Amino acid sequence: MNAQISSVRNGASFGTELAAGSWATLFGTFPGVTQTVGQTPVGTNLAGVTLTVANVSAPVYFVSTTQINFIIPAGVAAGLQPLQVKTGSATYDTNIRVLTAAPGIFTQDAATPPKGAVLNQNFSLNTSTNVALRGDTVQIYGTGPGAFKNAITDGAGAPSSPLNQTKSTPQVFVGGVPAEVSFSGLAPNFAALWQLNVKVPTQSFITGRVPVVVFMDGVSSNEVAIFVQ
Amino acid sequence: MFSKAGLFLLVAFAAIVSAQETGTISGSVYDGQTGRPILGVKIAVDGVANDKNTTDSDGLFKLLAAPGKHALKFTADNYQPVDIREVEVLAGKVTEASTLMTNQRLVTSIDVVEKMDATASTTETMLMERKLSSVVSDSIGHQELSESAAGDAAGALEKVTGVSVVGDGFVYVRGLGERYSATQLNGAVIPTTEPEKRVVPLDLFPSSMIDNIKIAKTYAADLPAEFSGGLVQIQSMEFPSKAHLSVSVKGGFNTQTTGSPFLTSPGDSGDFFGFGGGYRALPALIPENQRLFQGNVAPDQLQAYGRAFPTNWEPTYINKQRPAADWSINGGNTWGKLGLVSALTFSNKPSYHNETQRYIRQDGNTPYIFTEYNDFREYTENARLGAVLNGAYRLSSSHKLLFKSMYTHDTDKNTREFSGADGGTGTNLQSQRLRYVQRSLFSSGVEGDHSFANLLNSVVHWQFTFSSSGRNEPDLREVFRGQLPNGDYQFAALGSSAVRFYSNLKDKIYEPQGDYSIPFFKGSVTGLFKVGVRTTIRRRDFQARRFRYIPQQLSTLNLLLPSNQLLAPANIRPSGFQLVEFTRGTDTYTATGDIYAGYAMVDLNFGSKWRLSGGLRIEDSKQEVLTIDNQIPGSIPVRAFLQNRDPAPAVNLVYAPSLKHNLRASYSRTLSRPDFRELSPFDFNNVLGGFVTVGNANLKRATINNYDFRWEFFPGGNQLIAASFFLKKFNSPIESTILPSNDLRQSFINAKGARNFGVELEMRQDLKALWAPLKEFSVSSNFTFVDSNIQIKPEDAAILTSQNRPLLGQSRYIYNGTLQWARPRWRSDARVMAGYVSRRITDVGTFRLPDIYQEATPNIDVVYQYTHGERNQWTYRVEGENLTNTDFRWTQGPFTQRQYVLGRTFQVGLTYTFF
Repeated sequence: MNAQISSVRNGASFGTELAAGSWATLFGTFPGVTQTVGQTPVGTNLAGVTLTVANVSAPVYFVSTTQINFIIPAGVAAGLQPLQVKTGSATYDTNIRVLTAAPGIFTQDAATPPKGAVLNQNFSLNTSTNVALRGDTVQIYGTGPGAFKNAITDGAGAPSSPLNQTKSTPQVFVGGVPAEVSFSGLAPNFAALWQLNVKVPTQSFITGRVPVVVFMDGVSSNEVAIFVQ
Repeated sequence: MFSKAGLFLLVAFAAIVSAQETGTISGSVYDGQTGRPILGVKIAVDGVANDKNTTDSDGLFKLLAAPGKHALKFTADNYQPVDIREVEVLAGKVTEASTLMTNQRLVTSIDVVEKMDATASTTETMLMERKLSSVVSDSIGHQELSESAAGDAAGALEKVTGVSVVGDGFVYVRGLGERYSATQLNGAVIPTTEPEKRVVPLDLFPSSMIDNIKIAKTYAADLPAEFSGGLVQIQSMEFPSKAHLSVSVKGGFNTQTTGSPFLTSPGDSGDFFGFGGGYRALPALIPENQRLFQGNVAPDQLQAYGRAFPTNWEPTYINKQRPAADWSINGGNTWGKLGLVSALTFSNKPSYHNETQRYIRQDGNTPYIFTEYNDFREYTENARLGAVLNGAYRLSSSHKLLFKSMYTHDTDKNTREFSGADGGTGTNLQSQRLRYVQRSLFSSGVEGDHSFANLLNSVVHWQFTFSSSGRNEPDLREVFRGQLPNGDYQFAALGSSAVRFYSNLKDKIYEPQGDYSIPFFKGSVTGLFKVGVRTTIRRRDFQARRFRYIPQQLSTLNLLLPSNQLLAPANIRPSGFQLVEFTRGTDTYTATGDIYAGYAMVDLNFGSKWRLSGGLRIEDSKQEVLTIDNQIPGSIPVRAFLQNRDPAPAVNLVYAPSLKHNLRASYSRTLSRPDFRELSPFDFNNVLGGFVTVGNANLKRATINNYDFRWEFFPGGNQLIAASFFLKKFNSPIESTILPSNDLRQSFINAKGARNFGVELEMRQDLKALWAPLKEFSVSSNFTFVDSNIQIKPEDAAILTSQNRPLLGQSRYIYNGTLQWARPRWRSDARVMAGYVSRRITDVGTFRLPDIYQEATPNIDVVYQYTHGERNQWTYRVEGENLTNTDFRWTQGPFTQRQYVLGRTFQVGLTYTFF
């Protein structure tokens, strides 16, 4: 098997946009790597695999012979940056383009558009049989919002007090209607997990399987679906 | 023995022969200070007066005279008599002899008036109207329209000072975008065919149906207040002075389209004429008020719906594309009190271009190419049909009724293919899209002019116009494919792949209007007092439906198959492709826009040199947009609403040191209202794959203070030298912004303010005045310099990339030049027309993304015309368009964002004039 990196993608949307402080996924072939899942806080060495972006060590959460999930260190500047992966037996180099923001929303399935990783107002998972109500505040989970108001320790769980909010306020469109965002910041106790608290618009046509898109600093996320009644 | 019909034809023929034994003198008589037509002017021919030879309420007259040279004498109450000598009349021909008359008390100008020659050409008539206008205006007459290579109003207007045409026929006047222009047809506001724009694309109007186009560049209180750059006033064909019937045919080739391979889409016999919408209509089986997706519709029913659509996803290949074709017929006559004129025109023109398209992103402070399609090909067949029927009935010399109707129907049958590296998916993509867009415009109006001599010569004008426009886009289809490592392309299940899109827009305007004017003469002060009302009631309906075939179990499908096999009915099944409707809740809306306006104005002449006109118009406007999802029972509409009462004052001052000079100064305050969609706070795209537009419910209408100065010199004939300076100050101008998203997102903001100033220079000159051997040559030339600067609100400064930039769409320099050669002895004339428009911003960059500029586009056209036959009944014409074949190029930062050429076009035309 030839060892190589085939692509580096946004960890939530699997799109090509990447930002500092966000989850990313590296696809390729990495012979000899043992599939391993890490834990929070996320360390920089997992099963002998280490990774640097712009010469800064990156937290690694999941490794296998075809995929490595990691967090792009928060201090990496925007621009074309070198990425290096070291396994026990080989070193792999590539370049990635880091943007100031690259919003991606985590998904639950592979449908088009996929169900988003969204909790209803009662903290239950949003599904076609467990819908949100118009006017409810739902929680949308993603990655890649860009800069935060407070400093971040790479790989560490985010503090619950004070909450670390994004510097910019995102625009969220639910069914094409701009939705009120009451919170945008790191989910407490999770590493690099972006949480958005969003009020579902009350217009009567917001019903059924409704598309959701998030904009951050002018960059759009992947489109996901939530279920509304 | 003659039948009754035969007898009628004999009499009619005799009448024509009889008419050909004499000639006709016709023209208009205007007040030399106000430009107002004068009713009841008596015209004596060679000293012989005749009570029938008088002007009507339009100042028009027509009389018969024997061939030869005649002297005319014009007399009227309150006016100095005017003599025109050596008016040459030819058998069967019409000689125009329009003139001006001067108030009796203004002795100083008599000498000049007496020396005036009869006006001999439409170009000169247009110049005379322009000279007498109280507002700053430019114009292009029928003669210039017919001599140019332009096939429509948009192309013709590109030759007018300070005008450039952007995109699909949208006029930019004095560097201001189409938002700041308005269009009237026969004096009435007309609706647009564009869902996201307020103005009418002028490529809808074939030039052969137009008599003249004027652009009012300054406002007067009797004009709608919603413009700043220019009010485009199109007049359809006028009534001929004698019977007229002609037919024209034109054909030609384009260097990169004709005879080359071409892609088109399946259709029916109506496609060639632009009426192929029925073939592409939504299948009758598809329910109107139900959204189709799994869970809402049973699987077998969903399969039936999915199979109801035709399997026509692929373009059809044509080995060699045919040449362009253009036909027209027009004719008219007057029968006593009734005049009729009608025209029918049709063209079908294929075109092709291959371009490179790039989408740019920003990482930190560095832009980079995110997506690059370097093989982006568009094939378009444009079919355009136009018809005009205008009539006039003169009840008496003081009372006249007119009806004017125009219909245009314009269709683009478009096939698009592209491939290249797509940044969103990180792979090479390929796309095939079939599109069919029908636009139509119908306008019909009735109006009356009534002069009351016993009521101090007051005049009443009334008009009611109904206009309706439509844009129907049935069954847009697109399929995306992604490249595999082995180089093959297979079906890609992207959000815009295997989609079918239908949209329909209807826009109607009902516009009653009326005005009353009364002239007055007091000492050396003369003038006109005018009051009027106009109501513009606008109604719009828009609806769209979106469908998509989504693959379910990929193992049951061969995604490498061509689209017509892959999406064949056998594969439309629960385990194969399943139909999903993704029509949005914001895809249906209705909108109303009502404007109630009233005005009063006065036009005063102080002696022969000073003229002051001023007035105030009040406009009450209400705009309402209701978005409602009619597929959800009991859905409550969402309302966007804007209401304003605006005073719009205007003052125009003219100082005429002699009859050949005008110095003008004017001030006015005008408006710019948001369009319906711009007010709706939803994202919306009328075209799949086009910009997603996000409206802004907080938009306000903008106000503009306009200041104008112009010097005009009319040496005589069709000569002119003019220089203008203008300054415009905007309060809260509405600007379009682009968000660098995957789906091309566009929104609107009120900027804090903006200013725009510029200089216009214009010259029309016979070169014989410079050097006698050049007597067959004349030049007309205009140059415009515009400088604008927009002020950004502090809250928008963090979003917009350029804090200091020109207004969207404004070119700094515009140049047009025409060299004309005419040799009557050879029955030949020719024109070389050159144009240059400097670079302009087409999209405003946000979030550090650079602005997109369209680079400068020089252009050269050539026209040669030859007439022959005993009555000059045959006219041959050769045209060369776009001879420079310049690159159309857009740049964004250091990158070329788009680039293509359109090829050179050569056409040969023939016109036969029966009579």
